[in-house]
Amino acid sequence: MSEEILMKVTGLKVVLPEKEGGETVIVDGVNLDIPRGKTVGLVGESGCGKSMTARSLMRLLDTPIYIKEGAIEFGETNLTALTEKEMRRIRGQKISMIFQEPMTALNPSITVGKQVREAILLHQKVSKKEAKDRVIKMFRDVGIPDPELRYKAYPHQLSGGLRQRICIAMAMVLEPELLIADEPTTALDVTVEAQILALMKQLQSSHGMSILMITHNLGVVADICDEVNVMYAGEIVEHAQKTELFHNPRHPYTLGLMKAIPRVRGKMDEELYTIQGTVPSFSDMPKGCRFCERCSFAEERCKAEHPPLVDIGNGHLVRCFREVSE
Amino acid sequence: MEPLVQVEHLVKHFKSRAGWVKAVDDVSLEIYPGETLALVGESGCGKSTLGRLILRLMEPTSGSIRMNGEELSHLKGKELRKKRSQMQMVFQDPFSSLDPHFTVGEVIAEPLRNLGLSKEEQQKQVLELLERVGLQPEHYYRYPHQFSGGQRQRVGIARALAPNPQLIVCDEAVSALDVSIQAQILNLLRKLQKESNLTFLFISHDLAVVRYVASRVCVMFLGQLCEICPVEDAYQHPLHPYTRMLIDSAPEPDPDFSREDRMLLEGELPSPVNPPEGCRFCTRCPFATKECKETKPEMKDYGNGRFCACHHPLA
Repeated sequence: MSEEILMKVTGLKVVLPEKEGGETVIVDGVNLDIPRGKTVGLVGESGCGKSMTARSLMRLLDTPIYIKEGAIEFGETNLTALTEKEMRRIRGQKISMIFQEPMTALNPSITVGKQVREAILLHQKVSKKEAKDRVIKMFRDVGIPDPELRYKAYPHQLSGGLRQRICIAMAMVLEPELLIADEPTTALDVTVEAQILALMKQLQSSHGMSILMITHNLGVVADICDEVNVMYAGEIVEHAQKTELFHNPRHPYTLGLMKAIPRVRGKMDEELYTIQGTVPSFSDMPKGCRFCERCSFAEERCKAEHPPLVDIGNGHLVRCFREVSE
Repeated sequence: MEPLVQVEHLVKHFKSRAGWVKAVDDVSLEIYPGETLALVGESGCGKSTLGRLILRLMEPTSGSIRMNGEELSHLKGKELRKKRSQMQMVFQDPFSSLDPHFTVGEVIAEPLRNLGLSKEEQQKQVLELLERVGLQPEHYYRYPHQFSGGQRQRVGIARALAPNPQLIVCDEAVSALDVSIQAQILNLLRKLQKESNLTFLFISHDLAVVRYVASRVCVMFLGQLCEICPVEDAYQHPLHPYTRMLIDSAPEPDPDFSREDRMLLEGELPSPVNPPEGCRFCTRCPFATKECKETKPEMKDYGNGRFCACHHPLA
């Protein structure tokens, strides 16, 4: 495959320094390729490090959490080497982000039109009038009815779905090359979720940006992603093209997740498959495979050694000893 | 079979700056002993308000709620508290619904203490309850913060089971949990129901979860019921266009699933202060006619336990 890689993350390690010295590793050696014009999924449950990975790419980590190791190459630039001032020119302009909660992402005391206009005025030398026209056009593009009227609305006057459309408009108005979406539909009703996902797909085909989709929902992945990374306890445990991942999941965690979701369509099992136990805490991480205590295939070796991420063919990567031939 | 709970023409209006919010507007339904009745709909449709009205955590504007034939809607004080032990609730957020100052044993024992049981009897029953919900005896003396989300939800369920209630209302009880934990709690709820013939009102926005736990489904839109039917009918042959659209919107974890011929909702939810006249769904319904805009559709019986309020049902 000779696709152009827009962003290449190698060996990303994000840590939280502890008061007593020492540190907790939250994201551990993550590699991630985001091809131009494609949607890459980053899936996992709460606390697996998926949001921290996303925030690292924007260099938006809250102190004292910081990127300890790794490179984030965006085109020719290594983002980890940029100063905060240089980074501000990238944020919003080249890479932008939308969040789960569209209420907290917006300023409640400024009209939504002004907030989006601000994004343009910060980065580009255009008149206020021209900026406003572009905002209204963008509002129309993201499916906001009566855009001139909504321009003057405050966030609280809009529904959750409309607020998320405003956030998408704000993220898209400077035509970024990469859009990072952190659980953008999790707080929304299914009916609105379907609308927002359709909108994101449509914007991608018209604007050609890449999307990094952070989600816990495999249904969202199946709908919108081209390729998928599954994260568990700070590491990527499986990576594959979407169809390959759903047809041929190899990591026991991925397998378990897929069997544990109740479904709206098709046949239903008498009892839902469950993954026993809970995610290990970062302060008490198993030495070997991080999933071994919950894994029904675990052997002695899994407890003692840490499995590498191996390519089982066609770029399908799995972190499991079952895939390592002796 | 006699219904356990019978709700008739229940109304709850709230006063707001914009006017009267018609949160629940003329709802009638029955809950039968031993069943799980699911209440589904989008946020703001009134499903949580309806659940709280049935538990009498708030007073209805008008209408009647009967449990075992006894009218609850006007009970107050002592009388109401007595009834409350027969109806319990499991909340969405297992973090804020448990008092952090009490040990798990004390949390579960509290409703038993209110029933006047002796210390020994309380402890014995709490230990039994811990076992029933899949927790260990040594959890008795631990505090909520020492538990994971899934374990806390088990504690919440044990507490709800403690006074041996006839009805348990679960309000988005698994919505805050991760997939792997959600499956554990869903299996637990099904196991409990099989063992003890419990009756659940299961309020949820998640249609996949509902399909897994419910025996019947009530679909709610803007304060009113659209459809009531046995659970599989809602998924296989929905009668109300709104039911169909809700189900079509649900994400499917299958890349080969055809997303093209789905019926999806467009536009915005109308305001519950000024709901459309006639059918409440008419402004968003692709099949709406003049009749829908003018006359409110009555709930009609389609046989085999299927009821639908629509002028142009799908099947």
